Amino acid sequence: MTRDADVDTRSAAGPLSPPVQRVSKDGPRQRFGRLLRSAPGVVLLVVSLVVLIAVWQYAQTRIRAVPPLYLPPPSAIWHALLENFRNGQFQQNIAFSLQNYGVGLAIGASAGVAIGLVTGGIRKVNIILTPYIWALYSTPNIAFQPILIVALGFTPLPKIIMIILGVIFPIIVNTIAGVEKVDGSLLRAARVFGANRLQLYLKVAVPYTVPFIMTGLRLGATRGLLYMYISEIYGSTNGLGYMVLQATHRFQTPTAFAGVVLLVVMSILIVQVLQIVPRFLPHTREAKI
Amino acid sequence: MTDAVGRPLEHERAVDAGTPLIEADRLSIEYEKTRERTRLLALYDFTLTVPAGEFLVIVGPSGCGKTTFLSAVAGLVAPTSGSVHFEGAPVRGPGPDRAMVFQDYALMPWRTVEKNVRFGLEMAGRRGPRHNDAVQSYIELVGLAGFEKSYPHELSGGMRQRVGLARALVVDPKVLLMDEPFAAVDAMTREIMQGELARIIQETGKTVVFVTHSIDEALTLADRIAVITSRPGRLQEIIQVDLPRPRYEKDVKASPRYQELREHVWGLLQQEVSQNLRSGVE
Repeated sequence: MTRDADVDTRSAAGPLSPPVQRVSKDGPRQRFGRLLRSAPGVVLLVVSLVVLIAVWQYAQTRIRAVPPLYLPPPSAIWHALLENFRNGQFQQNIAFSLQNYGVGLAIGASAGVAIGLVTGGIRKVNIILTPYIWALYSTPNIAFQPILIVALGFTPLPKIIMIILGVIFPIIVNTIAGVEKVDGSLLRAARVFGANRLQLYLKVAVPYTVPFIMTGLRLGATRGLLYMYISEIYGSTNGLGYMVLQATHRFQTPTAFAGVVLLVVMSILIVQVLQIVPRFLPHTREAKI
Repeated sequence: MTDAVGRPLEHERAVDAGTPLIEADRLSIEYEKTRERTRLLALYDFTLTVPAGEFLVIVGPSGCGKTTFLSAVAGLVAPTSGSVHFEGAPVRGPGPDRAMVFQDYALMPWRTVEKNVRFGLEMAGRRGPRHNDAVQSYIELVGLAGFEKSYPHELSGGMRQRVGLARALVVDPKVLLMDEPFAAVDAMTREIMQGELARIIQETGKTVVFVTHSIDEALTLADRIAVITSRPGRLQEIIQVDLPRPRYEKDVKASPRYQELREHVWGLLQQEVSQNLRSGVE
């Protein structure tokens, strides 16, 4: 941290903080205190994570509370993680998984938004499609996987289709909800200012729906990750899910856990990115009276 | 007289002083209440004419059909019986000659101030430097220079309504329909906005139909006040406001004539409201 930044935090801290002249006399304790005050959420999270890992490590190396075969200590998972990165096994499997996921997410999201906008905007399409959408949404789509594998073989294609099925429904449903909930007073205003039906749809309903689409995208992206994982457990010879399954079959639980850790990190990153994006849209912020 | 952009007002006195701009003749409007399967008579046998250049304020209790009348003039609802004429032709739908300012502002939250003001021009396919200048000059006219790139959520209620006013003025309508435009802003902002509206209308020479609950607002702004009864809405009385302008100065509000008019309008409304209380309408 630079000194400038130190001074800034101080002046923002208010009258209770010591005067600016004494900056140089600040010890590490004061600095730590200030850090706690400025970012308590992040600090607490890190502290809790460290404590969790320490307790886990202690319980599994000293006490051996659970047989380490079922629950390896964090140190063993870390070693497995490094080992698998060193021999390139992780990279190869992650690349396979992420490639499928990327293609599935891109197709699922664009098709979902398109279907949602059309279904929400055209009454007759809505009446016809809604029951199918809900039926497919509420069915565990894993049921389709054996059929897809029979039809398409052990290729990435059935996996991509599975990911699309995972991604698409939350996006469709949320997009339809956005179009249907469009603010009546905005439509009224647009009509007064001469908007025709197409303009009402394109200039009011569609932009109004953007925050709903973002919500659908967030739900769809995480659901897609689940479907990616599942599609690799069954009828696959590659990918993160396949790797975890193979490791457990060989009783290499640290490797299996390492795979799960990677999956967790991936989901967190994806959710974080999708949570940050909407902050740049003006109308996801408070916009009414 | 010229408008804010400096062009002569195209429609200025285009209509003879004798020909009304808006003409409602025995207008009745019924709404279907689908959920309750009943019909609501919002306006009944409503006759009113508004000459070009007039500032008409409509006052009445809640649910008296004030907004319905504006919607009929705007072309958003069709008469159940009777007629509304604008410039001698029956109203068949919305048009650029009638612009509206809404109580809840109705600004597009994803558009900046500039793009909100531009909305009406955009719908009409009017683009180009001339229209850009118009957008800018109306933003300046309503006192929002420097906020062109702001979003509605970054503005106060009063500022949002300035955007609403600029959006309505920029299409150069022949009449401004204002539906309780200052009802959602605080009392102080409201008085300032009233003063500015009076100034802007004087500068642009627009015809205005303005709906409000507030008698003081009506007396500050109106050439004529139309008092409406409630459920069904009917015209009760029209009052000529013969007070000197500008009216937001203290001596006008303190004048005996102001008090006299105020008491008269209040008397009409009080009668109306107490009748409703007795019949349990509101």
